[in-house]
Amino acid sequence: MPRILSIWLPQLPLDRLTRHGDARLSGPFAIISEEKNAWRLTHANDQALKAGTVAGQALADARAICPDLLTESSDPVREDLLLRALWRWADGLSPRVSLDPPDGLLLDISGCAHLFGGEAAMGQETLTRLKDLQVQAQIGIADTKGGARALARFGAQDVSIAAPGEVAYALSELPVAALGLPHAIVSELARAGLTTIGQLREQKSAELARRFGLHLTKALQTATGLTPDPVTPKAADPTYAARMTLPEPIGFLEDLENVLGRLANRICQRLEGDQRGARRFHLTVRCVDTGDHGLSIGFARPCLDPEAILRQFSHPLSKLEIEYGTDWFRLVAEHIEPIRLKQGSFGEDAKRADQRLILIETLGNRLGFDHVRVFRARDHHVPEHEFGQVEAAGITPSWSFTPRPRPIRLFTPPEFIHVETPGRPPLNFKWRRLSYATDRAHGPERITPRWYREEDPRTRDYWRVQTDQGRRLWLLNYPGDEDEAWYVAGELA
Amino acid sequence: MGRTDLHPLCAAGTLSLKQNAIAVGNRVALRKGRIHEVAGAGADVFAAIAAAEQDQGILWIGLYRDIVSLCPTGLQAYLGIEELIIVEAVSRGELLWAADQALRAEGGFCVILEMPDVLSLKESRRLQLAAEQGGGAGAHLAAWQRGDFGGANTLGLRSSSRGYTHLGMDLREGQKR
Repeated sequence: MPRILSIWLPQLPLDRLTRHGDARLSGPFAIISEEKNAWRLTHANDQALKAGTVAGQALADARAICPDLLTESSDPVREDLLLRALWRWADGLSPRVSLDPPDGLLLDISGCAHLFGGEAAMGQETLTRLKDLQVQAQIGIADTKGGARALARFGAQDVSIAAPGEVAYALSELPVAALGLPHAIVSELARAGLTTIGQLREQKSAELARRFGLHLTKALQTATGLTPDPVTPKAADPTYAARMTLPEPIGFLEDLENVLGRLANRICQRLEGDQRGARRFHLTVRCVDTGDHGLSIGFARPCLDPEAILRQFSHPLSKLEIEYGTDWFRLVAEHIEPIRLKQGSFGEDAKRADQRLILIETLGNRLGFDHVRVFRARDHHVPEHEFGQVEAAGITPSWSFTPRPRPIRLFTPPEFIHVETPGRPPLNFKWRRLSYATDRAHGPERITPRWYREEDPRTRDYWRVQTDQGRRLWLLNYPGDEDEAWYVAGELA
Repeated sequence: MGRTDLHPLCAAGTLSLKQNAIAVGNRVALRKGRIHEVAGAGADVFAAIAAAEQDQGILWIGLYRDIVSLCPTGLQAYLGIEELIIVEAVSRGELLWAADQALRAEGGFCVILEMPDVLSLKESRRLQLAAEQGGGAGAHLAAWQRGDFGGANTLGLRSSSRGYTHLGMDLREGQKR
């Protein structure tokens, strides 16, 4: 029979700040989040709880009760990062660990507990280790995931254990909310007088399903072990990182590049072994006087070439201001992707593609990858929506020919012209402070707008106009408009 | 259809162009390893035609106001849009740096640089040296103001009213290499 250990981290957002040494936690402090246009407390520390605030309370009410209350909005991304770090840490307890987001972990401890001296000892050891990490936790151990989770969250002790085969009995006194049911179902059950899991089990499952839905009976059956619900472990993503601490600070660019070269070599060897590459690298340089400095570079394709990493870091490193030296470095590979190893630069096309990507990387790392773009065709009839621009990095160049003749310069919004001699199109006009006379004109090309979008609803008429002065302009007006205004929408070749 | 190579030392009269005009559709190539100054109303399309002839990747570098008005559905008649990379810089320094990197890069890229003003002699010489190192060709789309251009050619392109497909062309006197 499997044995599952559930770790519940009730104060994870607060623990994250505690681990960072946030001084605000010495007084009343709470984490808040916006729910239905109102800020509410999600987690409060002991001082705040003692002052009378509770989780779920509106922030305005909490401030009225406790005027000294300090708050910070929740940061789900960083909390998830901490949870994932703990997920990797839990590998030391069991080889089969899965995430139970947003604030829990599930471990399959079948065959592991005796290594710690039994389940109770393992639970206590886990709590102790987490306490050392400044993370508060509660633990439940049972035959099923649902049972362990319920005991961790609603158990009377820090480590609650349901003996093998007795999970149903252990859960019977717990409230129905322990099954992880939606709030609406819990309320409905309460109205029907069913408040504990034991009361639910006394009901016929067919009746429960008919009245409250299959979700309830499924949760009940998996929690009590009638339906199998195994832990699906997933190995934590490997971290490709290397760090180096030096006995003496260094400051010369050549020395920095040497250190970076060694770090890059170590990471790239690991990446190559796993047939992976990274699209981003982040280097942290800790200066003895000014603290940590972060430098990042990106690549247009997954990279595992130390020389390329050095080449792209050379500019940000040269900009780094180091006065008293630096003695700690950490290089992390991010955005890991699998690569298919191929012979490099074989054939002219491959060579050209390589050179193109190297140039995109060089430009992107200095100007920003969003400033190095390519055109993408769109299937649309409105001139300004016939194409778009996308980042060039990681994009296979492609373009589908559009049949309609268009100007090589398109002005969005179109530029107003001053009509001197009216006509259709105008015979004489001024544009950008220069006078033009129409020699020949073709048109109109009538384009109707996208009525299903909230955009300018006017029909457009475009004219191709050859001016006496030589310039070929794409004139635009809106037929039916009261002011009969004309615009230059583009310049033709 | 003939191909017209604009050699840096040739004078306007020696170009095999009828009445100093290039028909759009003619094959016009810029000499590789050089940067050329192209000015006038027809500069855009001339640069596009010449860039397409290089048979290499093309970079169009400019400020936002210039880049945003480029229309690939119009340019597609002259060059392969899939070969075109557009680079948006936010300052004059970034424009010059990007052009320098692109000209210096291996692969002989064709660089079309749209500057908001003229290049100084020093700047154009540095770009010229970068083009010589990388082997690519550069077209600097310039305003009509006269600058101390240190590149190969200075071409003045004006749209002709004789038809939809002609560009008038003047080679400036006193060209510098």
